[in-house]
Amino acid sequence: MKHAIWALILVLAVGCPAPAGSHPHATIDLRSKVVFDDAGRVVALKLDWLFDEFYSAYAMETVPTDAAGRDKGLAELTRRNLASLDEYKYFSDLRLDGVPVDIKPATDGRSAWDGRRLSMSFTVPLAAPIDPRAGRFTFSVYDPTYYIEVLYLKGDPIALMNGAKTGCAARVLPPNPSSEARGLAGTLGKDETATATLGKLFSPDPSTSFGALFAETAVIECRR
Amino acid sequence: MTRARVWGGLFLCGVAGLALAWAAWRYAWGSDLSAFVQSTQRNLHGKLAEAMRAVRADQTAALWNLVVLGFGYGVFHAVGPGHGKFVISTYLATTEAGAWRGIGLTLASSFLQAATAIAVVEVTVRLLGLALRDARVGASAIETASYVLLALVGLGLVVGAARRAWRRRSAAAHDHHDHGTDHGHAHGPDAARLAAPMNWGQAVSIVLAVGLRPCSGAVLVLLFAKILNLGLVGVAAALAISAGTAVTVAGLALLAVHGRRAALFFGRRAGWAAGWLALGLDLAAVVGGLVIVMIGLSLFLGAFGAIRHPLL
Repeated sequence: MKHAIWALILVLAVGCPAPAGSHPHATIDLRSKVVFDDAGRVVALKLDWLFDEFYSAYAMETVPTDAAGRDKGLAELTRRNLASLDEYKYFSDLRLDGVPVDIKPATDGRSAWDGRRLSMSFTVPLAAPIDPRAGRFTFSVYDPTYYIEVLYLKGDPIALMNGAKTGCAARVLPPNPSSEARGLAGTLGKDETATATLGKLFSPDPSTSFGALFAETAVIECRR
Repeated sequence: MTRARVWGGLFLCGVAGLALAWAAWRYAWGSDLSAFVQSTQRNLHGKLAEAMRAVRADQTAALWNLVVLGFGYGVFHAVGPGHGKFVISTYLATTEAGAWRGIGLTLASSFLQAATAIAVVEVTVRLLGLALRDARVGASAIETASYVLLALVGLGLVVGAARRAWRRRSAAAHDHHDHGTDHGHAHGPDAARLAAPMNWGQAVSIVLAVGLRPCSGAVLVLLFAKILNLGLVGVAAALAISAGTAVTVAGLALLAVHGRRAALFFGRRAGWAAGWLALGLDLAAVVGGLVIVMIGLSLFLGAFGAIRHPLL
């Protein structure tokens, strides 16, 4: 009986229920730039998303193939994407000492098609400038539903715009549910399955989501 | 059940258990394993698109490459939690089904998932001439139906187990001298009857509940093939992916089947009465069934919320 229970616990643990479709089905290669103002404060993030070929084909389905129609179609696609991403803060999670940083609606949205892959770039302005010396400034870009896996393009470091003289540098921390990312995510102790079981595929706090677990974190470190 | 089979099963379970313990340990102390699965999956996904372009360039030679890549992608894609795996493993852990039936159940539900994806793409793109974006209404209706079925499968497990336990109680009240006196010698029929017999209706509804949801990865691959004018090649890729996911899930199914056998073997050895062992399995079926009912209902209610993914 005891053995039966243990065997069942084992089996149930393997097939642990996380109904929120927790495998990525599409990928984004991410590039980001951190924009500083002249006072050395962070004022915006510039994000550049390069979608995988399969997702690109899906998204391009509604875009006309002729040159003139394509430009119009891409502009419309950008508008639609940014409008629906607004509610999700453009999949970005900015924090100062672990406290979420407010952002404004994205600007400069632009999509491009290279014949194989679709890319979309846009700027996310901060609601108020942040001094990265005032605390630990971090940001992650992830799809809380983990339908799309967002990872930095290998060998493409985060650029700092107007930030050369600030003495700041950016570093990407790998996804790591157990150490630094956990500190960032705050309340990961809350079971993801519990959230999902309530039918909240998009939990109000995305940092407790499945996507957050597998997200890379960029940290801005400055000489003081 | 022969002695060799029992030890074979135990060995399998031991290996799987060790692998699991290792995985859990790695997961808790650094995400090496999840990072490995993550990056392998991403690589294969990227290579799959490349392979499909290669197939268009020179047909047959690249086709095998595509099938192998699709298969590998499926294997890694299926690692990780999902309700299909939970349903199948709970069912196999509490029902008298052999390894082959477990594998059959897995194959059927994996291939049904590919078939649904193929049907969704064919019907919307070819027959209706619509963009796939428009097909999501139909796809989500199928999904919603599969969630109802899922809850019903869970309910079936609970009711079945409760009825079995009840019947055994009333039977035991009549002839409890027959049991408990037979330790030490093998008697096959009784051992086989400890768990509920496999029921075809239940098996089919599990296959439908798990497999009716079109695999969204396969849908994207199929659409990509359509755009490259590689209709049948896309179907081959989708089938290869589902074969890969079936291998991973079949591993779990074998673990469930052998886990149950090992548990019963040890239970009997430890001198537990057959009635108690059967009750243990029924209890597990009730708990697992209730969890499945909850998952089914929450997915069903979530589907009504119908919050669309911002980029789909």
